[in-house]
Amino acid sequence: MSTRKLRKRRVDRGIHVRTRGLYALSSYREMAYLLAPRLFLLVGLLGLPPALDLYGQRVLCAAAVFAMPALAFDFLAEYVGLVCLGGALFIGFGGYAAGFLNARLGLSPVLTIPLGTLAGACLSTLVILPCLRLRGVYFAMVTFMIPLFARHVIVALGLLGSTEGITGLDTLPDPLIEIYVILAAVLASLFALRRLVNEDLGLILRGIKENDQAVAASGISILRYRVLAVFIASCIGCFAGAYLAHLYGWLGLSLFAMDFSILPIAAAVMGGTGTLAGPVVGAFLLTSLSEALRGFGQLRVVLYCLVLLAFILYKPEGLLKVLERKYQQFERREEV
Amino acid sequence: MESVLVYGTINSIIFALNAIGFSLVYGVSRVPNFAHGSIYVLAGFVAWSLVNDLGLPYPLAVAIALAFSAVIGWGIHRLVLRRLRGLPTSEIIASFAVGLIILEGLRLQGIGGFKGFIGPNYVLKPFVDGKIEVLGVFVDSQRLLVVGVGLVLAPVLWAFTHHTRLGLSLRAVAQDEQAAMMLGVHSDRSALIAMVLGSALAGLAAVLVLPLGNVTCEVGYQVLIYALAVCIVGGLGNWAGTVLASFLLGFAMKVSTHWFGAVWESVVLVGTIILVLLVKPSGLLGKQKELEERV
Amino acid sequence: MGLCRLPDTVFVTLATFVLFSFFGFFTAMIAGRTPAGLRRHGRPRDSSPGTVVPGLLAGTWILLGGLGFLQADAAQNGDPIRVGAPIPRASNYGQNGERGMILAVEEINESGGVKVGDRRRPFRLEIIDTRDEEPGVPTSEVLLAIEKLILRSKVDLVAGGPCMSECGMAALDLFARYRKLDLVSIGCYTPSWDEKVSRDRHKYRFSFRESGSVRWYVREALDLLRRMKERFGFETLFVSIDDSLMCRRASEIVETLAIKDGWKIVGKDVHPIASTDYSAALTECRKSGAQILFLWAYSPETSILMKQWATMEVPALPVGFIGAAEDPGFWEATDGQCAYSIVTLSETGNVPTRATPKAMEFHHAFRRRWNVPPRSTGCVSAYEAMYVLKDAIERAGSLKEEALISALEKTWLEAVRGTIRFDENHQVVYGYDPRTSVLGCWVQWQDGERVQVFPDAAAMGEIRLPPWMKR
Repeated sequence: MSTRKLRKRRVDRGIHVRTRGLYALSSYREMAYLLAPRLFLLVGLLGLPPALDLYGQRVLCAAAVFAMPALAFDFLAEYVGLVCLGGALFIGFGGYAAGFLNARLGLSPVLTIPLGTLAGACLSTLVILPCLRLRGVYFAMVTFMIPLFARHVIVALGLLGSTEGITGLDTLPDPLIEIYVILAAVLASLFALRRLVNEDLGLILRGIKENDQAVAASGISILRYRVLAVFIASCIGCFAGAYLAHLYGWLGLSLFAMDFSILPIAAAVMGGTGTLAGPVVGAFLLTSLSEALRGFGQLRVVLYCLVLLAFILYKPEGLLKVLERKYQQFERREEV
Repeated sequence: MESVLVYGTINSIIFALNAIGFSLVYGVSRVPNFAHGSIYVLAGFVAWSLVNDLGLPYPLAVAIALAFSAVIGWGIHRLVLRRLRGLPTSEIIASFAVGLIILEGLRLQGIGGFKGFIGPNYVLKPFVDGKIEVLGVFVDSQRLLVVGVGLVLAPVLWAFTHHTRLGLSLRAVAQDEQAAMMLGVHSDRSALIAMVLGSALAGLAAVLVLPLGNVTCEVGYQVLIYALAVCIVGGLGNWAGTVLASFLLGFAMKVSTHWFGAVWESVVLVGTIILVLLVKPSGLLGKQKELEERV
Repeated sequence: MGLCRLPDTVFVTLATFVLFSFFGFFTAMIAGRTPAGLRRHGRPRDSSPGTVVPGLLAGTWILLGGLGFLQADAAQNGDPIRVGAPIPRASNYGQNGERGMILAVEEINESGGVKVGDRRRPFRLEIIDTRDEEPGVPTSEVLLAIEKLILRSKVDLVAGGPCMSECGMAALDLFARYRKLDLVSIGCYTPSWDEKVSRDRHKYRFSFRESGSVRWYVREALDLLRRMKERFGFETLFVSIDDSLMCRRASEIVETLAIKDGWKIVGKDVHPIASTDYSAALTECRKSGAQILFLWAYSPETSILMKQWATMEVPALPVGFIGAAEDPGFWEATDGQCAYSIVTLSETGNVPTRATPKAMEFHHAFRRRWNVPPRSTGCVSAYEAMYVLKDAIERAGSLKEEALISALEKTWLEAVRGTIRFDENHQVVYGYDPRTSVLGCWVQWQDGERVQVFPDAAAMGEIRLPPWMKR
């Protein structure tokens, strides 16, 4: 038996090296290399609806609704340093705001969705504001509890239909419009956030994540930038909530359901935290997995959690990072 | 008024029992075991099914259930948590996933053709029957047993973590892993021991407290939230804090039920947690790492 | 488009494979030339984009796609009438309903099926788990499950229905949107359901509720109380309820109406939902001298309440909506200490009765099929729902929505609970005469059995008082 020892060695692909910096524009091949993944995502997502039947489109809508709080979670966790486990908070506030505007003030969805997003975002930011002084696991726990709290408060005060909710809200006119609105929103948020993290604002936020004392020492108000980051993230999350309220024409306590907190986090973990596209891909995969497992009845959640566990244990960096690595480097085994 | 006092105390001790196992694991050893609630329900279910389906005598079933929960704790650590040591978010998510698997998996079993814990048969018999009067309020003996065990267990665990080598090594690993390893404490093994003990304590709480009610899946989620709440409010790693927090929360719930109506109970509970976290994030009696918790 | 006919899991499997292969070729193509410096170690192999993760993914999708295929395939044999059944399978009402529906479908198919026009077609149930009684499940997921039945499985009609009131109300809009007939028959009790239908009867004409509304059950409760007042001379009530919005609202209505009837409410106890100790409330009840303990509680912990009631020998008869007491195993679970409690099972037929000829038939058939007696709410109404549909389809002669709607509106069917007919808000009509309406069911636990004591047309026994209450 030979005693050759092999190890895996990863080397950057030539084209990856060549596309760094200005040389990315040197030929069509380099540009294509850079554009391919983005185009793939864009074309794939936007081109999917006509290929699916109506049910598939609805699943896609639901998946996109989960993708947005997943994006918000990833942005806050990896680029601002705030692990916010309460995605249901955004969806709940956005949904209630939009539904309230529609049911009580009679505005049409074209107005209520944007207004609901802004109102919900303001509300969520106000609620998270006192918690911003905390850090790490404490912030995570408090934000996880806030949706539970909101539920109990709504029931206790009997607001807005409490346990029965309000149904019969206006829905959007066409299924195709519905799906494209949310897909456009997801893609717009994704690309906007990606751009944002490289702008000045993004650099400050990443600095705050790394070492907030240093940033504070530079005379920058950390609180102000954190509030801004939370506001941006909650705009994204509340849009999903406002849209959801008008997707099925309902608002109720279950807008604060735990599923809306847990699934985006699972999607982010599966897709790869840190790469903003990862949570989006993860959300789509996880939702379609969840729907496909409906036939299993009770086993569904069990299988779902097993998949999540498998990802955490064996591919913790997430799907997208693995794909990225394969795309940018090649591996081979060589002798030690 | 007396009933509020008596039942408040009992409620608080039940909280403390639920939280003790979790506190040992998360507070003392910083190993998040978010499958705590599931192990609780699983232990109760195992005891119940040993008694009902196999007809074993009750004390034997209880002993087997405790051993079973310890084994489950060992299994979770070995298979899941060992790989994730040092990544707190992943540990939390992974143990929560395991907990969900167990709880939802329990929904697959059933009797009479029904699935899940449906039907009034899922009841563990209390150890002792009968009741006595305390301060003019009837209290059944099972509750007194729970109080007794709780009162004994808290100082025992305090002594364990402060005066025995094993307990001290658990705390050492949580404080500074490198230094502890230099002193000959095996880090992974300590985490394993913490998990095993914590799960056994969860099982103990289950066989004591579940006879007061029914075995259902929702109990699992509730127990986890209460245990987490008690640990956070009391301060991670501080036994006096755990006891204090469980009394605070237990009484807050009972008092709010008595004076404001039961619908405010959950609001008060979660509100207390949030308030304490905002004012003193490391918990009422926690003294660690305060600078790192705030900006 | 041809692709639309494939189940989506198959489509995604193929898509994943195609896309990954495309990806692989693409990268191989781009990274064609090897960098010079690495030539020393030999030609590096072009690595295809990994094998483990895509393999895992593809494997999962193949498995699921295969299952998806199987599910779609099984629908091809025969030409059945496909009835979608969204059921919360984890809850007890959901499982009751599931059993009732399966029993009914088997009976109907065995006797030849449903006559549609000049053909006979069997029923086929497409059961889907909506999980709506589980905490943490949002309504949108329930609605998506129903959409799967309507859009993917393309069922002809839907029966069963979500149980939670929030989901039930939102589902009304869903069925109006997709113009699909819906027969709510498991246990959505909220009175707002028919209120909402009454506000726009044309829009919501597709939905019918064949199970009860809590409004009627409350009225029955008061009539039962009046009966007891006449018989035993009782006058005082002690109310004890679970602290949930539904129980609170319902108990307020009960109290207002009871006071109008001449009852004195001498005490009230609102306990948190999973409360495990009721001695405080029971002591108060005894001190207040109430003669009837009116309960409205759904948690399984109410078995503890009953045990404590019996141990403390509280001289008040427990009457009301006690979720745990509906179960046939309740006697054993409380060691017989639940005797004398009176509880509603919502539908006549859940215990042996002579109200209608079909009642005993149903009871025996159910026992034979499932080896347990019918449990409670949902068993009978879901069973009858299939017969209601059969009757309406045969009268309409087709499955077209508008024809079926007018046929259903004219339903006059003799069934297990009495005679089924719908009012102008598509709500089944409850009453006391089995020839013109359906009957509720109040039972008392006597000697280990649930014996029906009210309404009179179905009663099989008299109301008994516990020995410590006889003067």
